Amino acid sequence: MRCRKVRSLLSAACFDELDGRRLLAVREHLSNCATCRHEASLYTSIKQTSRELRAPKLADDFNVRLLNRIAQERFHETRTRAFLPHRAPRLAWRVVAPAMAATALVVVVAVGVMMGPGGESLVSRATVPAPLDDSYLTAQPLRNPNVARGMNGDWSLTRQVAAAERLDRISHQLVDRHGFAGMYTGGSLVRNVTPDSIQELYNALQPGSRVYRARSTSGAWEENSAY
Amino acid sequence: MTKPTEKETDFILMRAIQKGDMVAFDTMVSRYKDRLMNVIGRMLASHEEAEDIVQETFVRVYQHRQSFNFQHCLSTWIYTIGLNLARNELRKRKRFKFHEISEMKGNEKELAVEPKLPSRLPELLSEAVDTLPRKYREAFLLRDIDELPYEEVAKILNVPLGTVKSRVNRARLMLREKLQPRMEEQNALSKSTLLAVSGLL
Repeated sequence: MRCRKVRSLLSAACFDELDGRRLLAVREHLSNCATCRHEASLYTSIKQTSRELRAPKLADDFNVRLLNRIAQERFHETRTRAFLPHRAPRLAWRVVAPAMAATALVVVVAVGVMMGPGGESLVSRATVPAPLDDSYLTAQPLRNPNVARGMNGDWSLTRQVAAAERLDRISHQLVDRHGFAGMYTGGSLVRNVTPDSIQELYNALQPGSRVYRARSTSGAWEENSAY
Repeated sequence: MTKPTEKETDFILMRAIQKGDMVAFDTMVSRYKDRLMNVIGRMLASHEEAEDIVQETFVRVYQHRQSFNFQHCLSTWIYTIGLNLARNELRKRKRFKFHEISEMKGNEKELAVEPKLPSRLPELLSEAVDTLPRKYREAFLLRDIDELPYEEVAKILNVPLGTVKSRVNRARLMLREKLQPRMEEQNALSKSTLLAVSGLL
């Protein structure tokens, strides 16, 4: 065996970890090689000294102090176990992480959908204020037949006001005759007040109308009436 | 009737400890405290810190006694806990550098003097072991100082068997390289050593 090979086995040989043919070969080499023998003496010295090394000494009362501490721990354990609630569960990232990823994905998809295919945000579209409905400012054709019933073609605001005034006067006359409380009993008109009598009153209070002529925008004369 | 092995008696002790037997716990502590201190005391320079770590190791053993796995050796478990605590302590030290108050007092004269070389071989070896890189030091301490089998060292360090053998061999080589000049300087190779080598022959 050569020196190089022996030196790789020397520490194991000196620490009694080599057996069989290898140990015999090392021994044979050492008997002939002074350099390797010197190196072996160093290893043997380390081995002997490591066994002589004094272990750092623990304090004499080590066991007593340790048992006292454990007694304290046991006391603490038994004292707190009954009263303290269970520890709050730790955040399990293995569970939370996929949930967070899924939420993020949903958010991304939702934003994508909101943006629309053209890239214009639906949100921005939704936030644009709708044009104000000012149709109530102008006269609109009546589509509701119930409301339109009774209205002829020459409907005018003046006539409606006049009709309202007449009804007001009728109601005043009725109150004057019968008193407010006596007008209704259980939903029906009392005494001689009937729809017909109201119609009569209405007709009696027909205001006089004045017919006048006015030139229209086309230049022709038109007849109009005013109350 | 055959005498029970250390592993078997360890298991008997551990079963008793699990039932709350403090005498068994005291016996277990007495069995392992010096062996553990031998390793941890050489990993941490401060004796007090090492003692605290050993104490903490046994407290942890007690706290987690119910979770001990009887398929493993008790010694492996204890050493693993102790070494992990010692590593944590070393890591903390890296982050925060501590200074002793005595060091901070003005002793410039003492610092100016070259430190006296230890005159005895155990001191030389102890000093050399302290300078080894951590992974080699741990392997060397467990194998050559505490004389644990390679298989157990591999389990404690959680590395393959071949890695442990390589680390131990490398540690011995480094120690030899460190010690050789100083030993030759002080002519430390005694006759007994040379006789031991001749015994190898």
